[in-house]
Amino acid sequence: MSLLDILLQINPFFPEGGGETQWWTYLIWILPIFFFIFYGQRLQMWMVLNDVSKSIKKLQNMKDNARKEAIDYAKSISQNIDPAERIDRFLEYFTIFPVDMDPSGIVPKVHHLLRVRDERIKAEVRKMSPSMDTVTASKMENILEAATVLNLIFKVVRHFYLMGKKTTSMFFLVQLQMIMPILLQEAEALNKAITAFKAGQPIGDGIGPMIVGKMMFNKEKRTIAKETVVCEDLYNGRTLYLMKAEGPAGSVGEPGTAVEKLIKETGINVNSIIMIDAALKLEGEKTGDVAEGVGAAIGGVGVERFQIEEVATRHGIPVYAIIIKQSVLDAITVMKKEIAESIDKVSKSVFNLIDDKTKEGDKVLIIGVGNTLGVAQ
Amino acid sequence: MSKEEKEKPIVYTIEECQKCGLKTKRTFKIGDFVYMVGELCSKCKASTLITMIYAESVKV
Repeated sequence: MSLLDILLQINPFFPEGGGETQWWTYLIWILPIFFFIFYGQRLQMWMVLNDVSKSIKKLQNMKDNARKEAIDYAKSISQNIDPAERIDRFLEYFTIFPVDMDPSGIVPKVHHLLRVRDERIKAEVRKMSPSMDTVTASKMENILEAATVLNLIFKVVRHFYLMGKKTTSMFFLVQLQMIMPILLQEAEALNKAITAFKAGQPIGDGIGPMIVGKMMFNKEKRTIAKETVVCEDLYNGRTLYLMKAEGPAGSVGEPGTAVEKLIKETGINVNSIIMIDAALKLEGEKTGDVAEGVGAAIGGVGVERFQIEEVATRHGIPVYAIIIKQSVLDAITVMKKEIAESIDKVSKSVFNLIDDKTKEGDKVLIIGVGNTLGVAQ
Repeated sequence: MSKEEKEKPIVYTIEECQKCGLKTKRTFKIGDFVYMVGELCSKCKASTLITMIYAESVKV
């Protein structure tokens, strides 16, 4: 049976007999064309609005859940206070970044600003319970940070959604709809991260500190910068300087300042720097894969990376990087088995790199970069 | 994976005996952290060290 035969069977849209077509059958075809000419965009907008509003609902649930988790955790620390008001105020806390019209000298300004923000967060957390230990305080800080970001994502998305609705602009809404899957993915990662922060479990980003922490175990450590420790070790005639954030509190430390201090202030002539960090994988790559390269492997705003690059360039120190690949979700949720099991492979790469790129008598600085929550040394 | 089959992460703590090297896997307890002294070794009763804490996904 041909296609024409099938179409002819669908009466009355395709009446047989050719010339006896009824006027209303034409209308059935023509009316939708005019309908879509005049109302097509409105219909599309209605569908986009519907889609975006569903995503906003999800974001709102996640934001409310994060707030509730933060309040519950604060209550578990100190029963004497009602932390809801303080936490709500904290969620609205903002940072105004320095003017970048003249970018020269902006890094120290950003560094200063981040320090002030960090100290403010710590002071707010301390107020909840002055007797709180460092690990608990760091957990609270991490939870608050996740809740603040979720709150911000929700508010920005809602802003553009309402703007699109108010101005009936398709362009606001379509752009929002296009980036929504990525935003939802990040929000879900943050939402899940809160569970790990509360329990003090190592997160995927902690793989760098975990590898260096193993090398530092049972060795005498000293604090070199804020929440950052360093120790010395010997390997095949080389002196190793091992550096990481001080665990098991949830902190990334200040590796940039620590490297500056180690090289500038203590005058140690480091011959090579090896940085180990978690890095975002591309879709299709396997979680826990290890790759080697050159350059400062460190994320964040860029202050720490700038400091390390500055010192390395001034002293002509080669910087080698070893990265452990993972997704955004893997990086801020409980460490996956594949990531944890990369520890031996990375350690082997580190020692191969030392053997290949340095000689006896050299001084090598090894930095484990990342949030060291649940990882001691 | 069907809609009913969802993955749930279970967090495990790996303890390694400092004497005989025996590795023990148990579920994570609040207060555990990597490179913390763990429970006594079930084989030689020497002290163990927590060397890993990780999540494994199980289908529920």
